Amino acid sequence: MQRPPESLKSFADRIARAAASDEADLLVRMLRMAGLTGDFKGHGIAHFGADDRPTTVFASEPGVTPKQSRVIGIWERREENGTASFVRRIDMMETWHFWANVGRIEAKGSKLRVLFIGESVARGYLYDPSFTPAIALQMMLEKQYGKDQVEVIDLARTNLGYEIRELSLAALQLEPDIVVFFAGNNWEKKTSLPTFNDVARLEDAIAKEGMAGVKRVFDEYIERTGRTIVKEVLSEYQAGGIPIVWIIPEFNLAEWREPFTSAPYLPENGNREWIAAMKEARKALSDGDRVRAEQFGTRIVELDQGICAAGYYILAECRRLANDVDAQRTYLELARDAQSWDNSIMYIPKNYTIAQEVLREELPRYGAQVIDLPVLFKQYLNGEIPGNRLFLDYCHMTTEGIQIAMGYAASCVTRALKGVEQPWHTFVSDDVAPSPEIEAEASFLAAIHNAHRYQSYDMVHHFCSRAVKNSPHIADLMLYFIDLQAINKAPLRMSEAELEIFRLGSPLVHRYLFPNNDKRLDKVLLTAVANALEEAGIAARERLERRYREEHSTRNTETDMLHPYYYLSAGQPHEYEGLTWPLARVDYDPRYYRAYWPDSKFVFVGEAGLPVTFSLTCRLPKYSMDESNISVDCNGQPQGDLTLTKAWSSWDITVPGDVIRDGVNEIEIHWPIPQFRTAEALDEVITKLCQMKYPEYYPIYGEVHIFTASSVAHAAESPPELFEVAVSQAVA
Amino acid sequence: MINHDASNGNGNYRPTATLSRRAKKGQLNVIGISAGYHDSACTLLQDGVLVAAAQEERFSRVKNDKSLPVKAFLYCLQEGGITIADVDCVGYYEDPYLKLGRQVWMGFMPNLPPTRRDAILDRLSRPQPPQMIMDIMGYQGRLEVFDHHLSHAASSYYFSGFDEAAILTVDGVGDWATTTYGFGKGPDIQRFEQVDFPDSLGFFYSAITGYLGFEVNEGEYKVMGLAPYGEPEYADQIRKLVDVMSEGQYRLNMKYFGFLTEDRMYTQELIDLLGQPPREPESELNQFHMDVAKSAQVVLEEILLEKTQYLHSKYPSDNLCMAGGVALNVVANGRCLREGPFKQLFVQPAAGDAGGAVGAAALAHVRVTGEPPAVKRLEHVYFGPTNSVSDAYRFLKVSSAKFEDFRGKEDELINFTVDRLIDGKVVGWSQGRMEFGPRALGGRSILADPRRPEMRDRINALVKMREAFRPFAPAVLESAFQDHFALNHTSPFMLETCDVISEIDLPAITHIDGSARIQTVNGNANPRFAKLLEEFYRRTGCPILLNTSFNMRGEPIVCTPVDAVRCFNRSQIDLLVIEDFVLERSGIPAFWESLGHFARGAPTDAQRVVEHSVYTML
Repeated sequence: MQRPPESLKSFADRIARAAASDEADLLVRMLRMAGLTGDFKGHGIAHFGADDRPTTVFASEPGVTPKQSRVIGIWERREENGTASFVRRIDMMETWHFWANVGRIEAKGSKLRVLFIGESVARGYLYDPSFTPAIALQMMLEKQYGKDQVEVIDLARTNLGYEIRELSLAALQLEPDIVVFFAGNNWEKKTSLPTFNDVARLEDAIAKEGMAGVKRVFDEYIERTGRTIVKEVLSEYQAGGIPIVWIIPEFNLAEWREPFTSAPYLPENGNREWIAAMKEARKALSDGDRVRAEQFGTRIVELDQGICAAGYYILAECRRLANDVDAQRTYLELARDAQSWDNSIMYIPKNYTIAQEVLREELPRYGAQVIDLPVLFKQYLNGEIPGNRLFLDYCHMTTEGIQIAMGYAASCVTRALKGVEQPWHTFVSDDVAPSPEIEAEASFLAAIHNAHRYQSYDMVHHFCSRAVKNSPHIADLMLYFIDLQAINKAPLRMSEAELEIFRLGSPLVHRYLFPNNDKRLDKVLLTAVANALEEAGIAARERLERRYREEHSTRNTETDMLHPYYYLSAGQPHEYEGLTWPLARVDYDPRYYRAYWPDSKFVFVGEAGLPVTFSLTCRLPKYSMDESNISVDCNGQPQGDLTLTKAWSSWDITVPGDVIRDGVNEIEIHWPIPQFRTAEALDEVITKLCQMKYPEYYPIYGEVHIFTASSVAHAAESPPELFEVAVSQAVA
Repeated sequence: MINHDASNGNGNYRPTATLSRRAKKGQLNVIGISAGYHDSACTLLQDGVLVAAAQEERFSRVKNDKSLPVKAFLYCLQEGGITIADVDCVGYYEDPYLKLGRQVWMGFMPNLPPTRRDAILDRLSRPQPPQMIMDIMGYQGRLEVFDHHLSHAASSYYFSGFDEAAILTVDGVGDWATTTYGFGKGPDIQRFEQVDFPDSLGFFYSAITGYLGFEVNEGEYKVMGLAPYGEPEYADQIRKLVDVMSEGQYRLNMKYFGFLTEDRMYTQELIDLLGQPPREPESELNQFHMDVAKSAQVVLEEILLEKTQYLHSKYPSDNLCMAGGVALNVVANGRCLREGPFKQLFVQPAAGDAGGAVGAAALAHVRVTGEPPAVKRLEHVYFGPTNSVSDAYRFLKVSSAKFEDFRGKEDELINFTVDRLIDGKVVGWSQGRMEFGPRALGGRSILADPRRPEMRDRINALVKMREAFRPFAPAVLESAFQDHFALNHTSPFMLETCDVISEIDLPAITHIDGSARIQTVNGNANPRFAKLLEEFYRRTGCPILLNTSFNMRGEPIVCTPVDAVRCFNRSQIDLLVIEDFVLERSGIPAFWESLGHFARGAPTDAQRVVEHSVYTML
């Protein structure tokens, strides 16, 4: 038969009409997920979930085990003159920068071969390729073994996750004398599409435990997967008689703060109380009332059952104020671990407690030497909580951190291979470090990295200052960076500022800044940059203010405050992020602003005295009241109320010039507290999981379609001040 | 309006802002949307006037982007000066449940591969576009759904300027229909016959396209361009692919077509029939390929001619409106007009699915008002975003490129550009509003001197990176076109071919058969482009320029000045004119190229990208 029977066309239409009825599409999807419509395994749906082993980026040949693979990461086996070496694959050039800049791994020779496998922290992120942990370890071991007697094979890869299994097993072909693992930060919740098993587990967990059940399911996944990987990898190394060292990573507990999110749907209208408690706790902290803050912090954690970081941070701060370092540390660890379940927040690598415990339990079973950095750093810091001294960001280490970790690694290698006990600090010397210039550049890159992950001004400023103090040469880069970010008319790669930065010729800038930077208003970062330069006696503030004014003043241009360039500087990452869901959200999720907190902030650049007119199109969300008021503040001053419904409405708001200040201004919408129909919302979570849409775990408080700011209509009534004209002329 | 007083007597700050709810704009604002298959697009009709129209690919930079046109929608709102709250109605261009029925029917094919069956189930289990418009765009008002070919028909008829006309729509497939016969009279469109899937002239041509190693659903125009190099040696064989039946009907001989079950359009039987293996993509083209292309073109023309005669017999009008992807076959259209019974032909310039958005908006307007749209005859297609001179200046000023500023000196700009054209330079030309539809018509164009023999090969090889055989089209001054081309009416949308009769040797735009696909240009529709042509005419005696779309192979036509500069940087175009500014290659910093490997290309989201090996119809 070359075509289906014509007589079936009506029946096909009947099926299609049935699919149009309420939830028929969902029924079909669920039947498919459950495997009741056939056994096809495509699209990650039917039966896919029976085995939740993570996927790999390395398996290149179907049916070939990792140990037999011709490929180790980006290197491929090549037989020449009877020996096998591994040569970097041209077709993987796009991923070379994730790895050590090594073109060829020669066949094992007479040198002692130390295999070094790990993640970005092992890569020496932000120092690599100028300085890496592998370089440090090589230098340390050379002192022990002699210059040409030892080789560290650097197989660390940025973003290495559970693929460490395949990489490690394939790497056995390199015939190491010892292996050092430095991994655990990327052991994450499941990141592939949900399967029938996943959805079924989550539905059961939500029914029994609410959102806390979601965290339990994902934590169990992390534990199960981590344990499996350790077992499968280390049993092979142990069987091969290869000594094992494993470094358990630590986290920047003291300074790093998870970007704020509100609570997901909580039982019994707990969200309303959670919001109130959070506002009270913050106020109490700001008033210096630690006891009251702690009461509210405790209540927050009770309400959210420990699945949000925010409450733990309140409690940690209270304990810090009480000089109770141990309790502070505990709360900070709980904060780090709290949102292990959350696909809607920016991905931040971290070694969860649960992963650390898996390592502590499993490693001794395979005779591994364990370098437990959480314990060792605590000792090193005399009980202090590790912070920016040892870390550049959340998990990537400073030179000092790298020296300690590699000192211990060198000590373990020496113990294993020579039977010699040599303390870690004896391996550390001043020359095992990058140059001051590299240190300065890494610090500045850390400032950018942290700022773009919504860290505080203090943390960003710390790294800017550190950069300037390390090497004055960084000032040029920082000044050009102000121009690069503040001038938004030319995209990246095309701006004069980027050309100037390019001409500076820094390898680290080429490696990290050019491929990773996004244009943003960057109020926190650029202010920190300008201040750090000013503190070093280098004029920068006026340059920044002028750039902002020339490029962004509402006098000259209408500002689309929902554009990422501006929105990313509004300090509300949750509304912008949420991009870790495996499917591209663009085809499934709303393409307009949704508020995940009762207060929505937006920024624009204004001029004191010049009125600004805002154009706002917004509505109340699904679970809100049918009609309710919102209030609008500008720079903290109330501007009035608007009455909204669930239908879009458009508003013009003109804020008088006396409210506007020079530079970056803030306008805030205060949404009404909606009805929290938790049962209904969590039921919808399951529906969306079945549909492979992003599950909306969090309540929505308001929705905005358009929000712009402009003073163009007012500008003629308020001519620019003379100095501004002069500045413009000078620039022109 | 609420005016808040600053003084409240108790010393506290009181709001002083003015807050007012914006009244809905007086117009009837109707949005049209096409999406989900290829070339998704959005249009806005305000009081029946077409105000804005754009394809999503121009914003997303994903060629043929099929995803819901969210960015194009925002552009339409902005262009119309309205918000989502002001939209009165959205017209969607096809009936998702008719389409679903057709997809389910495909599932009844015996021995269907599991992947196909799973894909059909997947379609059944996905939210349909009306729901997605609500969920993704946030639209919550009146939504009208029209069937696919009715949208095509409307996109042509309502913008033709005819008070009545016969209407022929022909494409690959939308919902069930693949070809429809009908007529328009006043505000009403009626259909009296249709050919249903899988019988499709679009698929017939696409099968040959795939066999010849071109991308299905994209490379059909290459087959049309290749045809004049060949002879219809295989016409008899290719006629076996389609049984032409009585009235409007025809039937594909499915043993030659694989699209119902395979991942290619044709079967081994077609290969056996033609006697040679299919051409590997990018491999050399030989006479056989050219002959097959010619044969397919001849057969298509024969069928279309017969069916237009049938249509005329049923609705004997002077006027014919056409739309649907097959209507972009300008060679066939020209033959239908020359040899067929109709005296006037209007083809929707965006005849493919993008144009469905225009038709859906027009139909929604009719449904809401009972009146046809206000447009009489479409005079231009400049409905896309405009370049802002000030934004272009500010971008160039802070870029590291060197440029010449001709603001306030249009004559100098024109002279400068003409000098370069005469010198044999290839010019990127980005002016005013972007065109809607597949053709660049002087808004986002690459221009060159058509008299230069080397120009076609040069642009093909160095700029467009495309096959050498493909012809370029001329833009010609409306006031002078009849001196150079055998056409008795204007052709503003580059949708007709005719013989080149010029005394000037025009090797760069004359196809091997002596024809050209011309665009006639007048000063009303595009004043600056007309000025450029006039000055070139004054200086050279030639009122014609080579005009091809401003893009590189595999990329959408440029939209913004930044897109234009990026394309300029990657190509070998000599000169770029953006509004009042001119960039030359020497002004591009070397480091742009050295940073090329960091350049972030268009998103590679598989759900946006269109499949080009086969129409899966899913």
